[in-house]
Amino acid sequence: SQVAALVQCTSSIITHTLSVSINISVSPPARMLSYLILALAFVGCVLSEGEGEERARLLAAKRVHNLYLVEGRDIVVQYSVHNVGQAAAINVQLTDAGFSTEDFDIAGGQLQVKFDRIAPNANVSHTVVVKPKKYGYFNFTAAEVSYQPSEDSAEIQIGYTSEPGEGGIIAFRDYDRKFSPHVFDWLIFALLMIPALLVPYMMWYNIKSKYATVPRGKKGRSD
Amino acid sequence: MKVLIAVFITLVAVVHGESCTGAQVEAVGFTSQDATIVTKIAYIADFTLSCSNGAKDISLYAETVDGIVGVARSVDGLKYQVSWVEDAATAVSGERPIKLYDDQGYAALRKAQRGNEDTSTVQPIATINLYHPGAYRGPWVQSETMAIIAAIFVYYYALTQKTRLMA
Repeated sequence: SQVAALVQCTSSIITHTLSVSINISVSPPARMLSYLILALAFVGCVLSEGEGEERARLLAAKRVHNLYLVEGRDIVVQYSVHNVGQAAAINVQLTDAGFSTEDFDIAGGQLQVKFDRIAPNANVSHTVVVKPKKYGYFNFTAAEVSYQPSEDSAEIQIGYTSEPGEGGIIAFRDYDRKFSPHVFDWLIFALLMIPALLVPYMMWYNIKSKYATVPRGKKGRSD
Repeated sequence: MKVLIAVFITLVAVVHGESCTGAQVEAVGFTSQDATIVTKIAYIADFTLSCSNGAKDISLYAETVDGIVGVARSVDGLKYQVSWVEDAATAVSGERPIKLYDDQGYAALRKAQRGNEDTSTVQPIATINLYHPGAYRGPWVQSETMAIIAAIFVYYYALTQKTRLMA
């Protein structure tokens, strides 16, 4: 669009110059008028390049809000898009192709969404929860954002979110070994300890029940 | 993990151009319920909107904890999604109402905000209730603590019986 405007300007200047040179034989006042029109066209052309530059500019961030990345458990991914330009961004499409369906299940949210309009100095946030199916190192790649920079602009601007980087997804059994309460293991342990405790207890109880406890006289009382 | 939300129907008196009347919302909600591995709890409501006047392709605005935000749509425009995150330590369990507004409702809301009027006078076209059952933050008492207490108990009992016997 800027190139087209430039071409238009230069062509109008060229035609004006040609018409002025053709009118050389015309009387001086008409010649002055044509020079004036040429100057005005030139100035108007240069000035019109600078206006209409109000554009939307989107900054997008992608963050993973997890302490641990565990196989089969939630990963919370938040995308936030800020408009730091002067115009509203139209038809903002956010696409994340980084979570392939063979490696991740989507627990909630959609990976490809659009926002009709983001006003200047406004922001929107979008959250997706995925569950990994496999463990290992995973590179969280950037998602793509495409938008129209202003309402009357037909071009599509493409940008990318920030990249969270590489993370290690822990295998579930390693995580479980380290963090689960192991209640079942403790119950098994208690069950195994019962014979070791019960046998001496029964022996002591059998012997004790044969003898009655003799109440001991209180000190200091003498009759 | 998906909890089916009850459908709320709210009738709207304004019919003007592309507004939606008799909005019906079918929503599926999701909240993170394991707070031991995430730092923030995600609240997500996926829903579809059907209007009794057949209006389609309506852009919606929702009132969430972040304020009034635009609602994300799937690329074919049929499914909407409202989502936000909250800190895991401060998130409370229970119902979270999400009020949905269309363009007219949003304009009326902004006008009310600028004039410092009460924003609850603007009627939403629908409301979604997102239920968060609370996130699991770990057991109240560690099992190792219970095991140690039980062991101390047994030892104490044996010791008292022994001293009683010896004395």
